[in-house]
Amino acid sequence: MATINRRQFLVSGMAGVGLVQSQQKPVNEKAIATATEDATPRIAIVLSSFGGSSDHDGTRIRGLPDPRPVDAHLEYAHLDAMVGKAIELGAPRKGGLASIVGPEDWVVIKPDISSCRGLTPVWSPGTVTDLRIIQSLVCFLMENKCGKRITIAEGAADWLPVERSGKSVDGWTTDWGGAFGGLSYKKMVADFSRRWPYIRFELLDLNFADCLELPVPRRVYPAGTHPVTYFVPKVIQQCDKLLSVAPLETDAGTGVSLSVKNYFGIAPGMKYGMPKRGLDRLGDPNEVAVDLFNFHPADYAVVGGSWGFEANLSGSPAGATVHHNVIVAGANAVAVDAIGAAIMGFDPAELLYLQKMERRGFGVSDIDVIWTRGNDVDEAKRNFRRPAAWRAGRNKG
Amino acid sequence: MNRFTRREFLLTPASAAAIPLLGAAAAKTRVGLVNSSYPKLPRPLSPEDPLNYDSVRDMVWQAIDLGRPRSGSLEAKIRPGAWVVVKPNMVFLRPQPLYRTGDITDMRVTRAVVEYVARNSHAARITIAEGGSYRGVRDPAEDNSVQQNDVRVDGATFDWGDREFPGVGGSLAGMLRDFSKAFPNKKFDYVDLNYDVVRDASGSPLRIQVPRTKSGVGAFGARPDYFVTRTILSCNFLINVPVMKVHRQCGITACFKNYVGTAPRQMYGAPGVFANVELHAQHSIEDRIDSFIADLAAFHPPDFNVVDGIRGLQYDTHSTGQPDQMLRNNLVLAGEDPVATDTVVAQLLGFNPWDIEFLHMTAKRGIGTRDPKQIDVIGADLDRLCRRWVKPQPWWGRCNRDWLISNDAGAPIQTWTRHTAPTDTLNLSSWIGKGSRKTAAAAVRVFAEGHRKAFLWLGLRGRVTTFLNGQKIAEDENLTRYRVGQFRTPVELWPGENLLLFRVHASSGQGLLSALLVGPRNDGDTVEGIRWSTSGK
Repeated sequence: MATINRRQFLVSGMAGVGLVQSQQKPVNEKAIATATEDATPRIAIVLSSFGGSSDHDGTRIRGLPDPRPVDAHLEYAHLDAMVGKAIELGAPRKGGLASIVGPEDWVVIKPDISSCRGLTPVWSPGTVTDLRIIQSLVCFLMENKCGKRITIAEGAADWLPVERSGKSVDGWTTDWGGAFGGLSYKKMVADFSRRWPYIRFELLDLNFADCLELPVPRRVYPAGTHPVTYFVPKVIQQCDKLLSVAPLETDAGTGVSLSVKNYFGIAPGMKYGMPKRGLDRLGDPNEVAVDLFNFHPADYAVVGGSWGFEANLSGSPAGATVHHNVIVAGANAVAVDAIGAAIMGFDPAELLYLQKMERRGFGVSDIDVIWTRGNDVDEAKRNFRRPAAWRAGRNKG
Repeated sequence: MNRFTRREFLLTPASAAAIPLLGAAAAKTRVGLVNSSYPKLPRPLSPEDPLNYDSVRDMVWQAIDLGRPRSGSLEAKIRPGAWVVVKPNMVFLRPQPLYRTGDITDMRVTRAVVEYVARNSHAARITIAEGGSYRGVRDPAEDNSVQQNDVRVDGATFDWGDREFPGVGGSLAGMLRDFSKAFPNKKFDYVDLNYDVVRDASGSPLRIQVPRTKSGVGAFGARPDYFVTRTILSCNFLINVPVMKVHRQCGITACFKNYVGTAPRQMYGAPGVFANVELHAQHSIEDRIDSFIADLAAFHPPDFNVVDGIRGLQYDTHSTGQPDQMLRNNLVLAGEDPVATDTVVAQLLGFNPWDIEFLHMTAKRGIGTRDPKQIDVIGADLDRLCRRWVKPQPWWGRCNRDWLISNDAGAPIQTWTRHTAPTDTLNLSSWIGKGSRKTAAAAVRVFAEGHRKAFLWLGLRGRVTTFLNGQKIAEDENLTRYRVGQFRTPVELWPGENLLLFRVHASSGQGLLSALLVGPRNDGDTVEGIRWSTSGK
């Protein structure tokens, strides 16, 4: 089979040359598609230092208004500009986030708030979603008249809401020690409600939300076997659009924890425990992550922020916070995770959950067939130390 | 002696009255079903075996014989001198990104059908006709075109090589040339339906109203007039040769969905897009395409159908890139009645035929029967060949249409108004407006053959309280976008009669409701063994 590199692929006019069908080519064949029909995933990589670049056809892409070094302390305005640029560059040909989310939609934003400063024994800002990204995303949606109801939803592994724990703080109320510009979810939602009173904003703890036991959609079962079922919060299935927003983080089970592994947070703690050990009984974490994703595939994914986390969250070798200002965004979660993983120094081909996602038809993880815009993967790369327990491509086959 | 074609008959005054009588007196409609291991084939092969042309031809010809029309045989139904059109599904060519093996009709099946007609009938002209999502070689536009060795090709001239359809190589044009040599007294040609629109005397494309049957069934689509093609309208005999697959918007694609390829893309395309985007935009109802595929078929219902079930696609209509998307089944169906044939296809793919909306529409038009009890599947054992193909997401079956409605939920149910919703969605706004409490109630009886576990899928706009057999089972509110199946509640149905009742409170004067009872797999299929009814029977 003749291979083409990514640039040749992109220059071929998104021709779909032999990528889908690599067999049975007696002659040189190609289809001339139009730009509007191009289905190549477009993923944005925006470092805080992004000063501009060129698209594959030479079109100039303007940089950030106030570029900063990738390890610089960022203000909200910097991250807001990065998010805006990422949404602009990560827009699919058929339309970006503003066309994905309709004005009447109920939008669930799923950040990673698995841990909580002050409640989790080992805590790092790199283990949770940067709140400034959430604020920026919501402002983008509102300014573009996207969404009629916005629910920020999480089912944490490590903390209970204050009304259940009796403690003074939880993941909704903490200001994270100022790690994210002093924002807290509670204050943020109150502020949104004041600014956009005709829109319903809410926080929802998925650990205690109403849930249903449902079989996994689109999963093929051998004849005579019963479908695998999960408890899933009703809101996940009822909402119109789901945005998954996660930090760059390593994970002992799946290698990296990005927009797909973020779905562990939809599993209700009241059914699976806290931490969610009950999910272990349902299978390998790679399989479980993909199963959970199936219940409502992300309509948009954003990974990154100011902080990430490498190696083991607990145990040896000790993990560490990574200060690396980058946003990766796009409408295809598989492609976003593949690029995020590549930036972290992982080969997407060795990540089992991405292989499974591909097999279930959620997208491609080969970075040679993903159209990155903004910074290159190599420019953005920052090798994260790997968790000791994780093995590349384990359980393959 | 004047002879009616089946199409002409369907449009006559006599047909409306005669159809019920025929249904009562005539034999069941026949559908021939042959798989590669069918013992009466000359060379039976396992369902997993790759096939060559001879084995495919044997299957096709056997299916044509088993599914023969009431006139005795396919060839007996084709008048001497007739123009026969064979319409395969060739929506994409191999280099197009959404193509994969199993996406289009196997060329060997098409060839076998043409060969059958050429050998056995007295047809004068045999045309292969298709309108795919690629431009013809004479189209000056460059987008959505296909090249081989830097030369523009199209449906007729694309060279498939010898591996895509083992035993048949080359192009359709080459195949037709071979037939011309073998049968010099017949004419063989290819028509690209994309450029074959019917025009008026001035040469302008003409929209034609869907013919209305004498029983009053006209167009189902949002717009009743269509651009159609001269070939489909004018030919004497249409043989529909689709491939069977799942379909994202109407569940299955086989006989009726194949009619999308009869809509000329020169009229229904959009700038830079050579697909029927305007067909969808102008004629869909509630994002369902059933209405326009039923309408397109009304212009010339198929005179015979041969369905390629050798290889098809699950998960979605076109390539998703999943390695297990293509399913090999090595089977062929044939029959005169496209409604019955598609009903059998639905069963083979693991769908509940009740859920396929266009079967209701085309049966209502009198094109055929969708009642499995009235279909005689002859040949292979249908039950053994049915598989559960993975359905597209999202997919939902047919919501209840027949309702009892009142703006006074406390009134005896016998006094409620019977109402049939034309689509999945029941619009209660006018009932809500009549009452002082801004509420309305809708109810329906569900008859279950036994205990049934199911999920009640609701779509709603407003606030709805749901009662099953007098017990409150859910309270849901939706003030955002309406969609079918948004709210799901597990339910258990009693054997016999159950009563579902919904109290609907409007939101901004709007009250919308849809209800579907889905089986335990929660995959959008109506649960087996239930029946909706507004009467107590």
